[in-house]
Amino acid sequence: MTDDDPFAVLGVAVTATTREIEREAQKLLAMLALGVGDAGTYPSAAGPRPRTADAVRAAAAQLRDPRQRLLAELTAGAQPTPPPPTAVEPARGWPDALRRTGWGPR
Amino acid sequence: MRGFALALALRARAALWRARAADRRRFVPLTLLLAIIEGGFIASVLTLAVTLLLLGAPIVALVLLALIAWLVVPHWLIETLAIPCGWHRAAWHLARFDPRGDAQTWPSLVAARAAARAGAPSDAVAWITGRLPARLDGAGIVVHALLAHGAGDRADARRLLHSLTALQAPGVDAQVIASEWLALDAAERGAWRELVDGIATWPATPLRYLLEAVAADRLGLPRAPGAALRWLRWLVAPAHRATWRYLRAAPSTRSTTTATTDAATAAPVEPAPTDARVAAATALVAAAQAPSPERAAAAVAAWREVLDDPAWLPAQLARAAALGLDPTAAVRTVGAARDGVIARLVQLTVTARAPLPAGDAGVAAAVRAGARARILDGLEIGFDRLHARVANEGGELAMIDEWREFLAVRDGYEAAVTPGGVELERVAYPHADTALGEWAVALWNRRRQHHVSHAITSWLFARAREVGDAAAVEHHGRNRALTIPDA
Repeated sequence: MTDDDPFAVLGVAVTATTREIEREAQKLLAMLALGVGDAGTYPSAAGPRPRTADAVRAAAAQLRDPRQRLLAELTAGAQPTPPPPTAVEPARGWPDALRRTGWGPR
Repeated sequence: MRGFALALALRARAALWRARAADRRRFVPLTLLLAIIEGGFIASVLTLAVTLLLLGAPIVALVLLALIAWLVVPHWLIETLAIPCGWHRAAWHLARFDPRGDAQTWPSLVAARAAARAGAPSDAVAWITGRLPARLDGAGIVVHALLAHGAGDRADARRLLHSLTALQAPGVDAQVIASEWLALDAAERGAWRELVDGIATWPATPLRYLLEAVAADRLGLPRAPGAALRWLRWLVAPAHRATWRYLRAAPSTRSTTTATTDAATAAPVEPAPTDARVAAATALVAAAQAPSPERAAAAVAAWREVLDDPAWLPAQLARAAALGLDPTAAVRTVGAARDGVIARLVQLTVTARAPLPAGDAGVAAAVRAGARARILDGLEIGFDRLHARVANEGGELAMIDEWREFLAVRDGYEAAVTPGGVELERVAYPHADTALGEWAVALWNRRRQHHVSHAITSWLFARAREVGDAAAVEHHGRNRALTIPDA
């Protein structure tokens, strides 16, 4: 989902025009080629992700096609969410209880 | 006369041990009675020995003492020497003279404990499993569970021990071992609620009784035994040194719980996106990243807001036109976009085992239909595979693996049909009935595996009642009423 979100890869808004998309893609490709700025990563709902020249070209191509762009617009713009709580038990247990009471391998 | 009284006391003690394990409601009075009998027994032995010595019959005294020691010592030797040292053969032979257990099952169970202590070496596993009866029963399952634990597969051991509840008569010895192991395992994981919930299922043993008191205290239950009663239970339980350390080091549960709750309350909450489409996209990503029934249901609900909105389709068609698509392509593309989202919601719903959404139209109906079809397809493939294996005589597995397969099929089926409720299960049940019914018959008739076959039939009977399949209820009810023959 967000991994494939071409708007996030290019760092453009869902409402961006084709011209803006092309310009941003060219700029990013140049920055990646020169290794300047922070073009090497982009923010996503799953946290910062690496941005490669291939990903930029694929995202631009996807948004150039009206059909694919319409599909991408529907699911674009997901925001980060906090991880679900992991604590299930209210208290810690008796570590190594089986072994210490004579059960299982020494 | 006195010798006769001693023999009677020994027999009474053995009977009381077994009665105490069989019925937890009589645990406390029978434990007190056992203490009185054992105290009287020891006092009688000493008195008799001293009397005989004073009467000038030291040889008779020694013979009598040796005879009594032969009846008393095996259990002590098993617990303090054979099991800790991992001597499975010694444990097996000693257990044959231990009045605490059934002579048919106790030696294998004790030997498996000893072998597990030694890490379940392959020669010990072969030696012990070679002595199990060909017909798998409760004790056999527990032996395999203990050996699996010894080999490092704790999850398999836990699953096998829990599965004893599926048997009609697993046997007191097997239940006692399983009860104690599962209680310790739950305590180790801090699964105190699981331990308390097990009270209704598992027999009390001195160690489980102590752990139940600890669990009730940790959970802050209103009827939790106080500190004095907990220490009293500790006194009766084995492994004093190990349990003493835990009891002394036990942290205050209530403060831990409060801290957890406070931390959860204080955690920053992300503001929900105001745009319904962005909120739906966010919910979909969140559910895909950490699948859970709640997150999958939230994603479905969020997309219902978007896709079931009457304004959504015209807006998308207008947007497609603005992007330069002709009307036919626009309709097709918008439909494909909707189908793509629904396919992802179906995938999430099935993966997270979320309840199937209710609703006769729109996204809910589409997700429900898709998930239902996926679940039924998955079950059908599994049952077809099982059917093919059972029909093929060469496809027989070792009995413990047949049992493991039954547990996997049963758990998979229940997990799959639960989200769709009884409506989905009515469609799924006939597939289970055919495949597992044949399996149960083959196990009973062809392999004489009555315990396993009966467990499968009982499960089919319960599911048939759940879905209201009268013919299956009658059929499996008849088979279930069959008496399991003695070995």
